[in-house]
Amino acid sequence: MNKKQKQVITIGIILIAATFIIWLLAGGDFFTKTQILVEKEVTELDQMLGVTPQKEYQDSFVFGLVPPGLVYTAEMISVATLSGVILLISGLFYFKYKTKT
Amino acid sequence: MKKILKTSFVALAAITISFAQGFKIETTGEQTFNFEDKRNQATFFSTTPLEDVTGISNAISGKVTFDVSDINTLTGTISIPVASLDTGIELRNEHLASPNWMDAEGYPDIIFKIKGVSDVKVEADNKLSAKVTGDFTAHGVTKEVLADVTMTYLVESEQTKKRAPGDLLGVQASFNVNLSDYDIENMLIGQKVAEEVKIDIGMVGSNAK
Repeated sequence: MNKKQKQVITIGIILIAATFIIWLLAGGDFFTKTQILVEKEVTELDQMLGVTPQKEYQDSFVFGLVPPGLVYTAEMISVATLSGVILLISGLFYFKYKTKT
Repeated sequence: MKKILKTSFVALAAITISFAQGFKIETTGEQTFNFEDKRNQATFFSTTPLEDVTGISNAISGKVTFDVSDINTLTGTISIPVASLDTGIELRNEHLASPNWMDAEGYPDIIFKIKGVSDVKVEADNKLSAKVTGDFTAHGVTKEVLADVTMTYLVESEQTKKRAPGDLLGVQASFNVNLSDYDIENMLIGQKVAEEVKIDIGMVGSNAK
């Protein structure tokens, strides 16, 4: 392993570690989400009628560990897919910098 | 003799009161409430080893009928289309509607049919809490469930008219079901879902004709 290959591996490991740190900071959800559940405001009449606050899914991105599906592009952004891409690119550069003997 | 008659009358009155618990409001007689408001909501909550799953539906429909002075006369049916359930993840919604889960094509509706009322407690003149027994049908299987229900009756006023015409009935119900009772596979996008699912229903109906 030459100096450039070591650099490629180091950068790859740092980037993968960074995705994990971002994931933890984002809440550590298992699935990436494009919608989150929020409670709507309760009206005075709702309070009088004794019903609990209504909930709804609103568009919002949550970075997860794995993609829940492959329907939307945003769903695919996750620790697993980003790490896979980093590994792939690192591998390509690793072989590119391989010193021919 | 007078004493016996007096005691009998008191006992009869006590029995009548205990069996005829209802709302103490201006409206009287039998009332039918329709639940068609899109703000009505059913929530299905479950857990997996990795995260919680909440499904919501705003497509509740149905009606209930009861004598205002006696909630034990309560009858009615509430239904929710399976296809209306939203879990916030498109693929999970597809799994939920698939034949292994709720089978939206084969069994399009989740239905709760009221069978009886017990343990009625008068919380206020216009508010009652009770246990409501009903037949809960999902995935083509019907089982009896017991729901904790709170009902609040609001006689029509300028404030209630802003939401809907007629008197309003607010209903908050909660009960649990076991997936295995309804022949439902408990895997959802590769995750094992807890056997027990908590169902909450919050809805407001109107008696306007």
